[in-house]
Amino acid sequence: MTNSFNDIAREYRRQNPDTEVILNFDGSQRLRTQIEHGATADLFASADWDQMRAVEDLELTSSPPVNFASNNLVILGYDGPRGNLETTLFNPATSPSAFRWKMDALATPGTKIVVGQPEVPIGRYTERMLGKMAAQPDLGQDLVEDLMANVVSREASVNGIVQKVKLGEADAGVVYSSDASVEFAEAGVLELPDSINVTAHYPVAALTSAEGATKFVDFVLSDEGQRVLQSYGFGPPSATMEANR
Amino acid sequence: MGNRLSGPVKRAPSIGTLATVLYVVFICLPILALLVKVAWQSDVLASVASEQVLLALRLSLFTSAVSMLVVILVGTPFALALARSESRVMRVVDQIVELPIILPPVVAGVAMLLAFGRQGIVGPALAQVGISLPFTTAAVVFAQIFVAAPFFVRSAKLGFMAVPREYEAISQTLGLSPWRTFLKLTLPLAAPSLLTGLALAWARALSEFGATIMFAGNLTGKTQTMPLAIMTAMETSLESAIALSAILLALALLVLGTLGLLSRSQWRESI
Repeated sequence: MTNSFNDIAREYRRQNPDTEVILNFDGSQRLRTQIEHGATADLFASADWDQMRAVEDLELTSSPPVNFASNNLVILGYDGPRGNLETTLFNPATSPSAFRWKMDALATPGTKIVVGQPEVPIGRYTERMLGKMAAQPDLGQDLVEDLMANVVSREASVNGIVQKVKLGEADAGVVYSSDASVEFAEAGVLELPDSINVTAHYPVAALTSAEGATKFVDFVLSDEGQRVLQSYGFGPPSATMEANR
Repeated sequence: MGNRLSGPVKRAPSIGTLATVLYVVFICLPILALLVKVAWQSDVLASVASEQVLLALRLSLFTSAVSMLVVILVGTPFALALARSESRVMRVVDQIVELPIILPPVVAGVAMLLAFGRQGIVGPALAQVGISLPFTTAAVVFAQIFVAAPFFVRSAKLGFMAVPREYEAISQTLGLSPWRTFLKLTLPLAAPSLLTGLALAWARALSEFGATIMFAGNLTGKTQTMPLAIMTAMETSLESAIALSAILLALALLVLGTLGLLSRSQWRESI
């Protein structure tokens, strides 16, 4: 989100030289806490609806929130020296049997997996994905339990997960596809089948009646804004409001 | 003559009072605000007494105690060597001691990964003998020692420097071995400084966050210390995070208070 919003803001500033755009990036729940405690923001873009609803419930929004992007989950794997995963794991075969084989490799004892803590969106989506995985007859509860036994850390943000895989300290981590769209020399992506994947919906809302606030929201939703977001791996916004549960 | 001198002397206490008030208000107001908030939501204190919190509390106490044991065992002779040596090498080493205080803790955590991690400088060699440090309780201890040790070493060094070398010389001419001289004379005289340093280092180890989350990760019962549990709680409810902060604060105060009392009684004995 940092890169794409920096790009969007740069373009917006170029088109509206009189407007000052100040961006503040953090985990959505932390931004929500800042807003609740009086941070003067004109706009709130959240990685999940729970945080947006909380801000809305306190009547701190001035326009109804709308989705501006979506995101799926992928597994980011470390594919370099001293890692536990074989390079062949990262070939893009997506047949059910290939996926099962990939998950078995991750479930092998000694593999180091990092996930988000369940209190933050990425952790919540990961739990939902694992729930779907457990319900699949060809994957199942035992596999999920073996995978969970390999979790070495529950990170507070998706950045923490990406860093640990990138540094080659963890073998794999569940992240958003937008995080995996950035090229890493020694990391590969394991795509999740649609049957177990979870889509995250990102809402945005103006918080003040400032003219620039709604104008910026419109710009994010415009073709131009969407092109930037999708170049960073985000999916198109969904017309239905909330994330699937 | 007397008049000229009495001017500044009279004024000094009022400046002192002003500074004291300023300092105390500045430091105590945020802490007081925290405690008031906790008092207002007294039921939250009970609700956070979960298994996760107890595990975090136990892990914090255990890891910081191990860290302090290592810091005392290695830091004391090191501080003595720093205080006594006049070599140029030791003067350079003296400058290095405080580096971890300057380093932002998260950077310290990255540095520890680059040294002891799987891809680090000595990590692969450790892996050869079956040792993997990141994401373990040992990594928590490593991180705490790294950030907290300088507080002990600095204070201990000053304590040892304040012990007149003539005393030690006399003690040894009286027939006491260097070892007994250290135990019976140098150590007791420097004890207040050592205890002060230990209190600061312990409090710093208890509050360690950045290096821990980077190097040891965040896993309940294994690497999730109190500061990490507070961060985790912060994601769902600020109230329980505040309640946990109060527990951590009480723990740090207990350590500081106990060691402070010990240090004061040592002062009296040494005088």
